[in-house]
Amino acid sequence: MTGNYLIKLEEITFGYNGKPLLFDSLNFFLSENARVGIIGPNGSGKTTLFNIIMGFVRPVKGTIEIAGELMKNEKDFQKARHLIGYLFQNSDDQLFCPSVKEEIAFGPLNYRLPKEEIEKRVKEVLELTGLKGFEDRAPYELSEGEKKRVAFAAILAMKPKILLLDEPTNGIDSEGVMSIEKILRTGGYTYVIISQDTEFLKKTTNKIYTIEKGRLKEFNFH
Amino acid sequence: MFNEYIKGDSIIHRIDPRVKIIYTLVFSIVIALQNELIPVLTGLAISIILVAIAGIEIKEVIQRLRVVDEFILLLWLILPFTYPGEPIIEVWNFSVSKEGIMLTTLMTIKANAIMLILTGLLATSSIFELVHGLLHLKIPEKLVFMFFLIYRYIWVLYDEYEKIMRAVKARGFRLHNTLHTYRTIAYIVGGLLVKSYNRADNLYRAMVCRGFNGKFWLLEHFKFSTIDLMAIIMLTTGNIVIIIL
Repeated sequence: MTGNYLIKLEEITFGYNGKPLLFDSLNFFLSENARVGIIGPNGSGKTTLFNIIMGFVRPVKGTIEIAGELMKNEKDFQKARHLIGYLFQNSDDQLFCPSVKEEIAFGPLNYRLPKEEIEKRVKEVLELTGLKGFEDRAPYELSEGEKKRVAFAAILAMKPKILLLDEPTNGIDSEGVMSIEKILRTGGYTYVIISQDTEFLKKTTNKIYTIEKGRLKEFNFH
Repeated sequence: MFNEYIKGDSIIHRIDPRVKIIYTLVFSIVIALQNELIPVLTGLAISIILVAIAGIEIKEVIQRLRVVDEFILLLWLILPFTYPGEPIIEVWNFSVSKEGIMLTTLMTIKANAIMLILTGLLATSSIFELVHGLLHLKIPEKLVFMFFLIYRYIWVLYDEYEKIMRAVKARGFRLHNTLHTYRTIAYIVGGLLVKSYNRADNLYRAMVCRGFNGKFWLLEHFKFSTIDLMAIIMLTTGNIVIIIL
């Protein structure tokens, strides 16, 4: 395959200790503005695929390129993570600050952005995700759906180029799902979504894959 | 379970967390070293005044004091009967010593005064303010980070424990002195350890994803104000009074 890809995984082979291989020479190419969905049974390796992209687990074999840079060590991944917004499956694992405002500001603060810029971003994403008025609420006291929206707002505030969303509609009511759909449709993001919600994937993606025998295969609903 | 951070807009809430941390530490040491009733009572009075100024609800204060006083109650059941000294009462052939009662009274007042100062000063700052304050006071970052995660996740683990307990009770589990009970408790503890490990791992990943590199940054920075200067003068005077008395 040729072309410029934001994410390029080639010949990825990976398996957890003592277990059969999850990925066997898996290839994945994500070009700019691509909107990709991944479905598949539990344990098929969907979240592991995200963890490989983020550099949290390392493949036995294969190469990872993000925005044209070959990932060789932790330093390369640290740089690449600036481009990626990763929404975890369980929001409780992602939220730890005492207030929603601080939670959203955490990423931009780590990138040492000016205070005015951080305040602006916090305000923007709160409005975008329908969380205006939640600034001083404690994230761990919110409902599951609200937590998910806070986690989503927190990654959007980092203005990532690529979004990796692991079950973004889990625990969210229909209004929340529609709000996420709208953000994805209008935000101009390049993204990959792991979801079991086929209706949501149909509306938000233009290509869907499933993991079969350790490789990605294009999935057709019909 | 009580919330760790008590929200509010009192003068106490606005004191620089660095001042609060240092005063809490100094006050606790000064109180712990006292052996006379008057200075300890003065310390208790100071801590009550601080809690009152902070405008903390009585219910919240009682909840926090209960944690200490449940432990102190055990001391009342043991110390007066075992501490050597002049016997003043006899209860079921056990004599209660005057010195034992005095010591337990002192310990009770000291523990409550320290808990009240913790509630009045430290619980009126958010965890991030305290973490930032500790870092400004040159406490090693690794230590501060560990403190932060323990403080934040101890309650999450407690929730997990309660969920597991509800799940096992829903399936008919009752605590008995049987092998089955011990095995079940071992499974629960093991499960909690695995869960806490996974949660810590995921949390670290989540922080790294958002650019965390071991440093905590605050949106609002500390500014040493007149309130802080006044607080230092008044709190130091309080400590000096306790020492002189």
